[in-house]
Amino acid sequence: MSDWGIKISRTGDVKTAGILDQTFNSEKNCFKLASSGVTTSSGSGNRTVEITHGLGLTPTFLAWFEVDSNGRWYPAYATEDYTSKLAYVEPSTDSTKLYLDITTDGSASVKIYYILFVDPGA
Amino acid sequence: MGDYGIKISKPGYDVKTASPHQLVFSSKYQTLKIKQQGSGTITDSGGRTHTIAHNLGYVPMFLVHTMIDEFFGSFYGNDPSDLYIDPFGYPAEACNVDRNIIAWADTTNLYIKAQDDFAWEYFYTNLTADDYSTDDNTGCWGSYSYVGNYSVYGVEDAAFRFQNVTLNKGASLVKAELGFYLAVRHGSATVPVKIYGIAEDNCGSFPCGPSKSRTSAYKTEACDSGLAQGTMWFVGVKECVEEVLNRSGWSSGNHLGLILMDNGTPSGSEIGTGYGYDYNPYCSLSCLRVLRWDSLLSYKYTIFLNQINP
Repeated sequence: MSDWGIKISRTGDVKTAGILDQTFNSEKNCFKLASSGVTTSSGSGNRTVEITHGLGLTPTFLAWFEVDSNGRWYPAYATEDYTSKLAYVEPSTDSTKLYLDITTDGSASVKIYYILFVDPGA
Repeated sequence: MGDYGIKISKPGYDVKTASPHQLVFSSKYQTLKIKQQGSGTITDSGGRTHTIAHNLGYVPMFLVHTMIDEFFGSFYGNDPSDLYIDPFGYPAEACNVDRNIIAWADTTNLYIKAQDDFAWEYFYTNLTADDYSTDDNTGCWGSYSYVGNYSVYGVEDAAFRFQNVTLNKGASLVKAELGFYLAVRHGSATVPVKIYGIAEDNCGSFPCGPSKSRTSAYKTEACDSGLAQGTMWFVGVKECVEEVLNRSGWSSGNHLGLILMDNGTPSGSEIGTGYGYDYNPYCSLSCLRVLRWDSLLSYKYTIFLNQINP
């Protein structure tokens, strides 16, 4: 295959712009959001929410969570800082599902927003 | 709208047949779009939480990376310029300290916070009778550290011994604090004290800690009446600790003692703890903690235009 593709520079001459000054380069992959969703788990102690993603590969993902609708969104894995109530979320994936392991010290409602990329994890 | 768009495949794949993960771009899928990026440094003196306005009116996706300070970098065996993705979790340890770095966003700001214990180095007693001492009307004995003026015990002076204090000779400190766990608090009066270091290169075991030689440096402090039983009283002892560290015979890993002399507590009030109460359960609750650098960490952040929970 011949050496061709698309480059888009931020400013300046695209032919001389370095990779960090390009907003797009078809030689380099971009994360593409396949899907997103929100789930809420109420309870105490440890529990796991499983979400089937159907991507057929183990995707890269990101997740954030909020406890008791307090308006603060933390990246998972993190410990909530809002009250003395310990709460954290540990996400993981395989080729079929996203797993959200939730731990709360006491009863709490944990809302998790997640995004899954088309692109597989490294 | 018709089914059209743009696809760009990775090198070596036919764009017409490539599966989604073989594409570098497809207009079918959203990408993360950067709204703003920046960096900063959190210091102890400047406040441990930084607030960064994004003005989006909704909660955006974000990433935060932190560069931890020299102590923590060397602790990890890593270059202190290494970047860690937030949340940064300090290695689990037996003692209940929270040294995490956390970040969160709401509809107006991104917040980055070094928890209160971050960058403090903690030293504990060895939870033995020889690490606690009280001198009162009934004698001078080990096991407990009481200070104040209470009941038949009268005026009480206390001492603590913290073991394996891994601070170098002549080390310069930003802060040093005694953490006194108030296992007992009798009476409602403020308990005023003078705090000294124990003037020994390697503080020996008690029982009679308050009778040991004292540093010339001391702090005049008071345990406020508002501090309840079951809480920690943190009080600055920087000058006392530095005087011990500056002793010619001091070396890292030695034991360091502190004496609390009653300074006029009215009869009926005292504070105290003891090796049987001062239990974490793996470490003593009472502690000596030091802060060696004011600069705690540097961070870099990215706020995306993409919305959390739209």
